[in-house]
Amino acid sequence: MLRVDNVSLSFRGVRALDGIDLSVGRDEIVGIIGPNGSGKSTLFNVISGVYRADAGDVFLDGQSIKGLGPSEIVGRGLARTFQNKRLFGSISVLENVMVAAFRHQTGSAFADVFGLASGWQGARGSEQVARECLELVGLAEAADIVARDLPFGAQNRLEIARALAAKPKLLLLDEPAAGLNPAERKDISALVETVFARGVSILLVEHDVRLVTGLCSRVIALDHGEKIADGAPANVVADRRVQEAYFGSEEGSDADTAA
Amino acid sequence: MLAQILVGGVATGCIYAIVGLGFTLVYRSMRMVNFAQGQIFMAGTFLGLVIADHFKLPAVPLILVVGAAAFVIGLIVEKLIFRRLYHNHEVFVVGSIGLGIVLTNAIRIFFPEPVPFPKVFGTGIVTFGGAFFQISYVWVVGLTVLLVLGLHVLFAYTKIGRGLRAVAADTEMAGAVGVDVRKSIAQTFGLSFAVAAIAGVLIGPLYFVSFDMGDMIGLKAFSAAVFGGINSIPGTIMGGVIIGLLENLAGGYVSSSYKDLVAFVILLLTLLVRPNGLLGSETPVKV
Amino acid sequence: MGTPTIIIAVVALLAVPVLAPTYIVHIATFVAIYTLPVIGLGFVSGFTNRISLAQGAIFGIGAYVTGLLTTKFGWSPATAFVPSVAGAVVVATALGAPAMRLAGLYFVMATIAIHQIVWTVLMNWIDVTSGPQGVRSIPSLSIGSISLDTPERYYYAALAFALTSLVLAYRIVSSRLGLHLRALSDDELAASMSGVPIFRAKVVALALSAAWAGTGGFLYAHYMRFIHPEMFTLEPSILFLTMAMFGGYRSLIGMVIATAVLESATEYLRPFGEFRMIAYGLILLFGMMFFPKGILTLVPDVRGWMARLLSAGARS
Repeated sequence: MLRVDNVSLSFRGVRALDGIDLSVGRDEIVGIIGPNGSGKSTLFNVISGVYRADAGDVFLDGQSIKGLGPSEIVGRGLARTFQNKRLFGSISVLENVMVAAFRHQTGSAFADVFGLASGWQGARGSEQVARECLELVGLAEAADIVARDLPFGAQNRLEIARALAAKPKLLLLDEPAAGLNPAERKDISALVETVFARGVSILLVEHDVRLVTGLCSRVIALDHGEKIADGAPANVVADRRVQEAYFGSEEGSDADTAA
Repeated sequence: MLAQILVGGVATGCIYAIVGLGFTLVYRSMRMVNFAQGQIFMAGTFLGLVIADHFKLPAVPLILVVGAAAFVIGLIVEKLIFRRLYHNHEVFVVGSIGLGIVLTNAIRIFFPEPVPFPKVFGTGIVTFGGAFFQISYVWVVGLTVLLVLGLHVLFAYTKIGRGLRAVAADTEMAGAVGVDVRKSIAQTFGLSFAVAAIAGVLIGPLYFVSFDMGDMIGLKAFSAAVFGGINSIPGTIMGGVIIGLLENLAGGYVSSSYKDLVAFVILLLTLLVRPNGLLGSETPVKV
Repeated sequence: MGTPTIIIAVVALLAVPVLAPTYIVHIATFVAIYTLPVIGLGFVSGFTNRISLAQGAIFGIGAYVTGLLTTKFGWSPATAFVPSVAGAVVVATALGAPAMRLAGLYFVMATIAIHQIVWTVLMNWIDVTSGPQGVRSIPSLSIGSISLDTPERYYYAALAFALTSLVLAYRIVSSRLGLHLRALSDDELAASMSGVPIFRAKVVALALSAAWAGTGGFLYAHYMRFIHPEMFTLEPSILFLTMAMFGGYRSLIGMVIATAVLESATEYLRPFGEFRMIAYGLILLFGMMFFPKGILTLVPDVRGWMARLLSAGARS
């Protein structure tokens, strides 16, 4: 479903990504691990159209999405969340999700503004979708809270709800458990599984190695922009190079973010 | 005729350049644009006018006195006014525009009609390339060169100058290595006022002076700064001279009514095509 | 705003010419006319985080198109309306859309350039615009055979336009487009990632702001019945921007109130020429120095305070 083919990207002479190959099939939850600076977020940015790779290509369902902007890629069925939560602070929780839900709304803008039937139905449909997504992540009661007032732990879930409203086939989760306490981590993990159960393939980046090994059917490890391992979680974690990347790096060992 | 146009263009261009320097200096330190710069230039002219009328100073002392006075005024205005506008770009823009409006109209109360400026540079005429010019033109160009050299020396060799450069490059780092950032910023404003005021004295004898002369010149000087690179001093000078030349050429050979378009079309094109300008070096701010 | 408040407000507005002297009606008409370009600015500045100083020029285009069509070509104002708005939209979009890519400060600079270019053309294209002479004898609006050539009559026309545009603006802001714009002004990247077509939305916002400004210009031309380039300098651009800023770009009502307050406040000083302008400049300057977040933030948000006080301890 998603194929990243020999992607490379440099920033001002620094190789952020170097010949990355990876794939995510339908019905897979794939995790990406790696120390800080290994290129995980950069890779996400390339896949989601925020950056354009210098070399290589990215294929979604067999079609190249290289060079497309984020909003076009969302149109092709890919959605993502952000590590530094990027919520629309000034609008409500429900409205945040509706922004993404609008993607599927039919009816012209004109109809929408002038309150014509087709516009009205479209808006109702989007609202419906939005509420369902909120329900799924457990934020249904918070629908009318202004997003910037949302407590920290709930923000992650709002990001996920918003991404889901775009009805993606593939969901990229950028550190969904960042900053969460152990109980919240368990909830997020369960949420990811629920989403997966609904037929959405998932590619996630996480520092919490235990969470990754618990959730994912396959794990990829990055270090300094290169892929150094790819396979079953237990094997990858035990891989010598992965261990070195974590324990040998100056950024410190993230590998024991044990709760 | 061509000589007339060219020299006139260079001289006008130098005025744009010097006033433009005011924009550049402030932008380098603060990443903000002081939209009162044109009016400060105009106020500088009137300051020069008043001092020249009262004290009958000849050219060089006049320039020095006006420059020094403007520098001090700049320090004061920075402390009282600009300092409270640093919140964000919009606030600074609108606030400085407000200041400009106040300046224009305050001067207007005292000088509602255009007035002549004393001929402090004398009434000599020079010839060059077959055309005749007031000696003021020589002063304009000469002083521009001196100013640029002076600034270069200031920035490269003096402690104050190095401090200003440090703040312009990286405010946090500058503070970390012991530069008094606040003072440097105040000095930068002082310098921008001084420079504008000097330009005012230079242009005074060439025409009549009036309260609204700062508006157009301010906008064109702004275009010059952006065109040349709003964080580059040599760029701004170049930008000013080029715009002055192109403007005069357009006025002479194409149509005198659309002369004014030159500066603004250049401004727009620069922003759309190459926001850094000719010699500017910031990361372009395109989304 | 609750329905009773709205009804009272509307009735009060309708009663103005009946109760107030002509001078006040005159000011009120200006307020009504100015709310249009100000709301227009709300679309550009409130929802795309860009300050535009070109609004005065766009307003001017609206005025000039209708002024020229009705005087030189004998069109009726009614038929000149659409071209007037269209002209404003076309020029603004053609020049402004490329500038939409620029961020913050650079965008302001571009709008200044656009404004000056438009103004210079208005001033110097003598064959078409009569340059500094301006356009005279512009007819007033009329309904059927009744000509709206007094402040009292014109007031109602201006009011009708203003209220309609307010309702329309409100509907747009509440619509899908409006939500897209609010989202993109909060976080453009996230909006893009949520499927918002960023560039298209920004251009639409620009077009809307121009449509509003053009309509305002149309009304202005038929009220003043004489227009000339000096009316469309950066000064009105700054005026509109100030009104929008003081109103808080996203609050339609706020902007309307700010327009009313600022216009009345400075109108009072109109006979005093320079002093009026100095007062105006000081309002701008002090406003920015002491109320950088908008004047309306001063209005106590009592409910909000109470809620925050009560929940201060309970927040995680």
